[in-house]
Amino acid sequence: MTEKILTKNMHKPDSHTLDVYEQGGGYDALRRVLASWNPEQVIGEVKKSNLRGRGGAGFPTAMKWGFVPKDSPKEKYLCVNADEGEPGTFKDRYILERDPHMLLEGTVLASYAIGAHTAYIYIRGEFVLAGQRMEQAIRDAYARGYLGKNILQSGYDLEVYIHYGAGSYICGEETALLESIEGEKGWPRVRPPFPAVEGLFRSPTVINNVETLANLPHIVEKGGGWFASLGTMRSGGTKLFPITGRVNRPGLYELPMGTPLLEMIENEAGGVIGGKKIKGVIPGGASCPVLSADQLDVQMDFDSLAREGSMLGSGAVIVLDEEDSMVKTLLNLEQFFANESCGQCTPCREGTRWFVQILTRIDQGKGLPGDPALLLDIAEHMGGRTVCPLGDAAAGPVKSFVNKFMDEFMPIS
Amino acid sequence: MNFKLSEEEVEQILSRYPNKRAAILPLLRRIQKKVGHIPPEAERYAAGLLSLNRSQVHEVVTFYSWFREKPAGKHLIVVCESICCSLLGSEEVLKHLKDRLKIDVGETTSDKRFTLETVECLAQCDNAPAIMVDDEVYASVTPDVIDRILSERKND
Repeated sequence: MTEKILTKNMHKPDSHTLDVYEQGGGYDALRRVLASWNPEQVIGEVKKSNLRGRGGAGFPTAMKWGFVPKDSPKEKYLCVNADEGEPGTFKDRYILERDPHMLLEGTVLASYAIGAHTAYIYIRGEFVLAGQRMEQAIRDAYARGYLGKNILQSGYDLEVYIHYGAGSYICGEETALLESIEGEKGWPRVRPPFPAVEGLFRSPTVINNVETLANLPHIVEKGGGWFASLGTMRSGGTKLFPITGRVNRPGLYELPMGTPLLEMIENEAGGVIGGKKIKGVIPGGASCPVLSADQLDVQMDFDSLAREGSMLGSGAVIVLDEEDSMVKTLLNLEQFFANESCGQCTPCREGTRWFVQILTRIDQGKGLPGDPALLLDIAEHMGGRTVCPLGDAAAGPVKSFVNKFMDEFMPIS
Repeated sequence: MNFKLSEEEVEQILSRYPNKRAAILPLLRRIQKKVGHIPPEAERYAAGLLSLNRSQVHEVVTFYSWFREKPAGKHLIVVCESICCSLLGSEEVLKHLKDRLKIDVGETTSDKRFTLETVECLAQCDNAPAIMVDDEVYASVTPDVIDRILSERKND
């Protein structure tokens, strides 16, 4: 039985309430930090924990915080990225709905560490229940002195506001998220300057994912060394893995970083429906290159998946069985990217639409002999040529699906 | 149509941000909650409150897919079509809804009761396929569930 950290309270009745959170030791970490730790100690403990961002890129959290200039006279901001929308992913929604105070405690800890006095939680507009739970949690936390002025009589102030999105996947990209809070359309920004130096309202800003922040109370409570020991050499802790597709028990599973992929599909998710063979697995949400059946002997962590030419992404595992059409699957993914491309960069805006057109004709049995090569050529010209990673996110699946399942993309002769 | 918000409501939204423009999304969200869509006069109203010109507001309204310029029916049904729901039957769900309502995606029934749309991943992939009706999510949707949802809202 592996240790549960992020999901340990979720089975409790009313786990979203402040009373239940406090009974489980909630806000003890914050109490301890505000009483006797300075911000550098918080950063030091998180550095020791090897916590890497859970939004998809896996950037070391303490290092991200470290880029915030200490001597800046400007106000600093923390933005909580709760714009979960990567197909296959529902881990942050579980935290927002079932343990919102764990996220809030993490939010205060991170804000304290970087010296922010204002935090915005950017929640997807479609998350109605999650938003209601979070709003209630914020009201209750203010009432009991965990937010607002002079938190727990420490002299530290933090205001937390929710900012709702309005149906745009790209706003989960960190600079598009900043634009969206500022009241602009969600067009990602050219970097540099990086948000840590010039982010929200041109001030130093850290953007952290929900799951990343939810780990912080536990790291403070039990120590960075303990957290690091749960994961791999270069990536600490457990990870939330949403497992879906053709499995018997789809659901959210919390497992140590580095758990073998097949083990989680077999032991946790109950194996493939009807005992069918696996044809492929998307290991980290729609943006991640697909793994073929001979690549499944892999550990689920950032570095192991990078070696297989894919990514851990959001950790969302989507299992495809032997009867699934790879053309239909890829067409579905590319329709998503075409709909959600913000339109700023030509390679992404045009490329995603071409993908949809070509894949549609292949799916209808009208594919041309040159289509697989054409798809790969377009993908090649999108990668690395856009302001934000959405272009790469759309191109990666095309390259992996077409190269690994070429037969299905060739015209029927 | 009274889309205007109370002064307190506007003040409360503005107080969260260091400048006025940042209040545009929450402001439009409240307006749409109130009257169901963002009519042109509401864009002018929001622009006036935030010292913007109307085109700046219009740009936001048209970029974010949740904002609508035309009213929807009394109930808005959105069907998730993303990969996990698609693998587990969102196509049949959509077909059943189209057949029952006798409309296509993007249309409203002639009695103005239902509007049918599609949406990207609702993060309900563990209980696919999923749909949302107004503010409520329905997971593991089957034709029977759809029939129940529709009959509950037929005369409400």
